[in-house]
Amino acid sequence: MKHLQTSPDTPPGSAANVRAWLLCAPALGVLALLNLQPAGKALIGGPPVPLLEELVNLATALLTVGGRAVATITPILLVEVPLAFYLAFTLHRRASAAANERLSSGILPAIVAGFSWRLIFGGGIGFLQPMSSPIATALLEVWRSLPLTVLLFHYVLRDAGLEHARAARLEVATFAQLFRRVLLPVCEPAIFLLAALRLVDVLRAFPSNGDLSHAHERAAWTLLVVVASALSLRVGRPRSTYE
Amino acid sequence: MTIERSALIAAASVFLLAAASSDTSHGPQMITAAMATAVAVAVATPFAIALGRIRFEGRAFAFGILILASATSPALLGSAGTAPLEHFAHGLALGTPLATWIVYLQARQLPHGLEDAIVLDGASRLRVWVAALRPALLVATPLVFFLCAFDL
Repeated sequence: MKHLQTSPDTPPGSAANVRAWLLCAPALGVLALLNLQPAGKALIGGPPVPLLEELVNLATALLTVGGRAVATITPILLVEVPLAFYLAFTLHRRASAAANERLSSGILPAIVAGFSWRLIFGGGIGFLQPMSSPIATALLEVWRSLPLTVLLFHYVLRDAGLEHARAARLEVATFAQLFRRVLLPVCEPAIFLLAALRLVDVLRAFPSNGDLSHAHERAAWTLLVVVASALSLRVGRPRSTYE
Repeated sequence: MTIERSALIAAASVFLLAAASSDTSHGPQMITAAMATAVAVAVATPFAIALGRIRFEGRAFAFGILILASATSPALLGSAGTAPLEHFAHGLALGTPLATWIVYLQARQLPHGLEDAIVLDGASRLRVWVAALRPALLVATPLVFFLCAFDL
């Protein structure tokens, strides 16, 4: 049973612990070489910057960019998520299983591609060329990405199934309760994924201002997108209502 | 069609697209991108395995470094330069955290009980990990190469 000794929990200082750090060492070495000063800068010829200053700059950028992201994304998600969810839920509930399968495999993606092709790649629409009114811009953004969001929710509902929702309905749950307790937890990963996609959009919309260096803003955006994407996968296990 | 086959086709398409869209002046860029991808995936995979499969002392610290590096590496290096070493370092800085995240998220999905059961049946732990992480590697490799090659 010797091979079972590398179970997930390893006591401090054990051989397995050392092996784990040996596995981490190459990547940590590369990341340290690229990040810690002055080694990384010397390697690529940039000016050395104290690490502490770098971290303070990053924190400032994160606060600024985070506030901007929340202010921009919140109204969009507040409109887009309920609307897309309602459309996907209605579609899913009304169509038969076979029809849902046909929708998932071919029809919906084709419609979404047809709708989105020009809008997603068109540079003159949405955040890429903000209009005078923020509300109009937000509505245009919703219109632009709504088909994709509906498709996303459709896949989530197809994979999750509606058994829990039906059971809750039988136990006379209102739609609000159903949404809050059953459907929202199932759709959480999709919502985080949407947030990540929106963050990328917002990132492209705002050019760097003079207060922060472009590099730090980009770093803050990268961090936000990474966290939102990781959450969309991390939260991927839907919570059961009956736990 | 399996996910591996789809990923292979996607990888081949990306490579062909890269080759087709690049003229002769981009040749060295493709080579440095391929080298950076190889190194990034090679160092990221064991790191991700350690983070995802082993609960060791100092794991939170290693995790913190990964999260920080995800944000700070592109910032410190800025946009990719034209020199091969700059391009290589930029690709490595972008690719290593990204590949680590992708492989880590796949690595943590495999139940420990199942892994132990396969090992009891005679397979080596390395073989289990390779089989379990192949889809993630097939996604991470072309993605990192794409990012490096096109300076995204």
